[in-house]
Amino acid sequence: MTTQPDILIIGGGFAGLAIAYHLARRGAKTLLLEAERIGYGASGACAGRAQLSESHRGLHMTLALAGMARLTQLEGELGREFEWRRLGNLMLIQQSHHWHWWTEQVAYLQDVGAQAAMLGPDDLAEAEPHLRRDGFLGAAWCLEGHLNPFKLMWAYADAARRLGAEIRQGVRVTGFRRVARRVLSVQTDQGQSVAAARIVVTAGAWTGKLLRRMGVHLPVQFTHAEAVISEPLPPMLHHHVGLANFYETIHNARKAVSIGVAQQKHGALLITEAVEQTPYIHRANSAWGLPDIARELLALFPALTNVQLMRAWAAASPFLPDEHPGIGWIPGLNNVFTATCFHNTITTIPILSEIMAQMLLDEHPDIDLSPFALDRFKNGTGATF
Amino acid sequence: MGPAQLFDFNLMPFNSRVSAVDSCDHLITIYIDGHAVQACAGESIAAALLAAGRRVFRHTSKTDAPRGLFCGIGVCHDCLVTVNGRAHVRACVTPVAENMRVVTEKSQQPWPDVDGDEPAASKRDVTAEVAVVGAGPAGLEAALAAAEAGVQVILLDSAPQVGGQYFKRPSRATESIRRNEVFTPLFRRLQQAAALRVLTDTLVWGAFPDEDGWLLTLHGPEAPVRLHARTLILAPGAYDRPIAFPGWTLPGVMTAGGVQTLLKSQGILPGQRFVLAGAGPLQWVLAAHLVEAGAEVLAVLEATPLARLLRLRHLPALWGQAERLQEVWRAWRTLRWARVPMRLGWGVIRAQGGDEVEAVTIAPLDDQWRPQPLRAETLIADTLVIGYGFLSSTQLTRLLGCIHDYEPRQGGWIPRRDAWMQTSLPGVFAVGDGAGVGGALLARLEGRIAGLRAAHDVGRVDANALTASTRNLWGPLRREQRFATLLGELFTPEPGIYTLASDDTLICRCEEVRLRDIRKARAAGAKTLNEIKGLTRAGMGRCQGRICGPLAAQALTENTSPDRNQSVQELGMLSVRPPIFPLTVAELAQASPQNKINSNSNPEMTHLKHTPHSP
Repeated sequence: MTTQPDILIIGGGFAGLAIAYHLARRGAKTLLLEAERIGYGASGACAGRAQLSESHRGLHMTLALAGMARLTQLEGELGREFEWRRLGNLMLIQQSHHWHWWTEQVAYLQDVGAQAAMLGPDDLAEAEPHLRRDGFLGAAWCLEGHLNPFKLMWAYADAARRLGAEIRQGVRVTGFRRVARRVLSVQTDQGQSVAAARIVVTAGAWTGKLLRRMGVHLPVQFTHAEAVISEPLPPMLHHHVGLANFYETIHNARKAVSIGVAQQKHGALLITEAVEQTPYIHRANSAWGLPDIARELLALFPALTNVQLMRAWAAASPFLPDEHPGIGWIPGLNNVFTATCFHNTITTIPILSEIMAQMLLDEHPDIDLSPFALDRFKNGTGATF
Repeated sequence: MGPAQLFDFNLMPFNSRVSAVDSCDHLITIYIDGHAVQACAGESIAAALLAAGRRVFRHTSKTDAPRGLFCGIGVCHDCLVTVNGRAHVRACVTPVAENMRVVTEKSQQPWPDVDGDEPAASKRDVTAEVAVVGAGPAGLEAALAAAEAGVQVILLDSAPQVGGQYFKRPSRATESIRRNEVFTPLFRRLQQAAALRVLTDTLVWGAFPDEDGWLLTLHGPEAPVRLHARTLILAPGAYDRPIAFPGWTLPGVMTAGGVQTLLKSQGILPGQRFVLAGAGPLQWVLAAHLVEAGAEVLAVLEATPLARLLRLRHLPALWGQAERLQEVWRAWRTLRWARVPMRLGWGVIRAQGGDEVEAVTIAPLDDQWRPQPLRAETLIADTLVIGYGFLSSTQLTRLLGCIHDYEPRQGGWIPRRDAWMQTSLPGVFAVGDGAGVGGALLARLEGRIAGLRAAHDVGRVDANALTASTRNLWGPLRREQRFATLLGELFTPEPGIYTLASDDTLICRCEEVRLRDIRKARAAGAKTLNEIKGLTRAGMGRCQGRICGPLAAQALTENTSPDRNQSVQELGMLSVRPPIFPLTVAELAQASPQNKINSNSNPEMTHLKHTPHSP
């Protein structure tokens, strides 16, 4: 790109790439800088699930439903396939308070038009014959989706490039030139200074670190999560299977494992996850994560005893103190936008990215994202703008 | 390992068992696909299968293609068979046992049996001042040097005996005597070193930073599950450099290292009509061994042309290498007497056959090792041995995050080291062929230097003693380095060899990814091997990219590019992830340090939210 971009995006995960696509589609001169490679952070490490069942009422559900509808046509829209398929999610329930919560949630999911049901123990055994039989009251089921996250990112990247966006990998933003309420340009580790009218920070877990370099403090925290993949197996699992007490298990825990498992298109089981609190972002696996995942997996699926596990990986996932996404213009700055800490990222990004592109180009989107605006952190939450 | 086992090595009787079981001194019965077969106790399943005339060990799940023994040393994961109901066992590194049921694998895999050995109860963690991974020449010397200085050392190896690929259990008497001149004293010291504990049959599947040192996660029938050590000395060795060409996945195409193992330590001749193609003196020595074992060797193809071998400027590096030159000379003489055609400046371009190799097409190479197909010839052969040198095994140093440099003439990506063999991570040493291919003598010197330095670093040897004890090592070290450099210059493949693969040729044997798909990913903008892996699955299979990673990097790089090495470097290395060898769910579950997890509450961190199943 020889001339200055209208919009500079920092971070090449789901959000940055999808925004680049929608900006390019609208004719904005767009440049995306990715410090490492596409999907280096949580986007490339995730399990590829387009989640729906746990969406909260209101804006979250609105976005999830709209996103899911968009996803079903997205391969055609982007002109590349990314292994999209519908996949049910089974949340295994062991305690009665979860049964009650999920009974209500399933009713709500049905109300908004999603396919969902509560399954008793016999239905559950029929749905997943390899699952341990005892210990479950049943499960909540909801039809969700699944895809290959790498291929989704590359589909967005490809489409964005075709429409004129420039995507540069291996270019790290090291600093910002800020004058009063504007960031005029960014410095890169290649010694360049790139000026842009507007700047978007979609750097996932690194977002907080980048914003600090422009004098903005947003309390982006992160957890470290590990996952593992098995050898390819004959078809044995028909849904994503997870535990209804997932949040309770990992909440407040310094280290915790909660199993979620789905069979991939080529037959391997992708198994999540060991969660650990970490003071710094890294991608290393721990010595305990993989053995503990294996042990908990075996407790759920005794038939997997002699199945080989091939490869683990890890990434940091960001979150904000109130656990809602942070999307919008940075208060106190005129030209910096950020979007991070999403819910149900794969499901919502196809719709969120278009809304965000509209916001960036001063258009008026149909869906109002102001509940996710960052000024909610202005008072007493440790944020400084 | 008990002393008896080691002793067995020493007294290993002359074993002339070549492609027959009659001279084996302890026959057992195993069942191959339901048929009772005699096997020799102690040999590998692969050896038993080959001796029984079985070269096709399995068919792949994606394309139903036949596969057999390829690397022969446990790296490529192509020789998988089902053993006593347990699927995907590496036949080349698993010994036979009485009444073992071996089933060659069909493309449609049955569900992995849940029967099998009960996992042992969780075993204790162990601690050492120095952990040495790999008991080949480098690891043995390192462990001995440190232990003899009083350091508490644990030496680990995945094989049932110490010795590595170099001190293989020999099956020929002369070989045995010559090797034992070196090995016997080493072995005696091994028995006498009170501070040394040897854990064989112990696979290291992960390496992690730990408080005050490092943590290795282990697997093995008698192995502890975790080893804490202040200092690591990594001596993982090397494996045959893969070269892809049409037909290279056919059963009957084997690496020189694999064939050498079969011949030397299993007494198996894995074919009748051999063609050897490669670069370097090792394949000549192997060809001579094959001839002596009764094989028909149709041709030995040496890619490096005579003119290049005979350059005078090589002479200084040969100083002090009389013994090696003599070995090569002996091999050369054997081959001449047997009238084996030796073609310099030639290479293989294709292997043909239905379910296994039936013919091999060869051609002269130009100075860039590009084949000249107009002068190609086809030989009717059943076994093609590929010996284009070695690549360093760097899984552990990469997993730990040591800095690596691309040194094409020394084994590809190798860990950066200081003069004391210490990597960029303080307390992590890398020695031997795993840190740059240089052969056994160099490996032993490096091991000794690192072992002494580690002893110094943990406070067992003072600075003066370190200087004194290493004084005599630097001269020989430089001599061996010079020789290694010469071998690297003469025999490292030139880029033309990587044009043998066509669009249809598999690059990733495990996931059956063709060069076409890898090129497509590259054309779509993937700039690194890790991105190509994400898009194509190349490198996601059981061998974890050990075979396809280096190949993909070479095949994607334009041959004419003047800064070719730069381009290979930019493609980078595939990320290494634990477990560095596939292990079963039950095996990994054993390594879980706690009985009850999820109880480790930290009340200060009440804001911890989910990291969801997907972000």
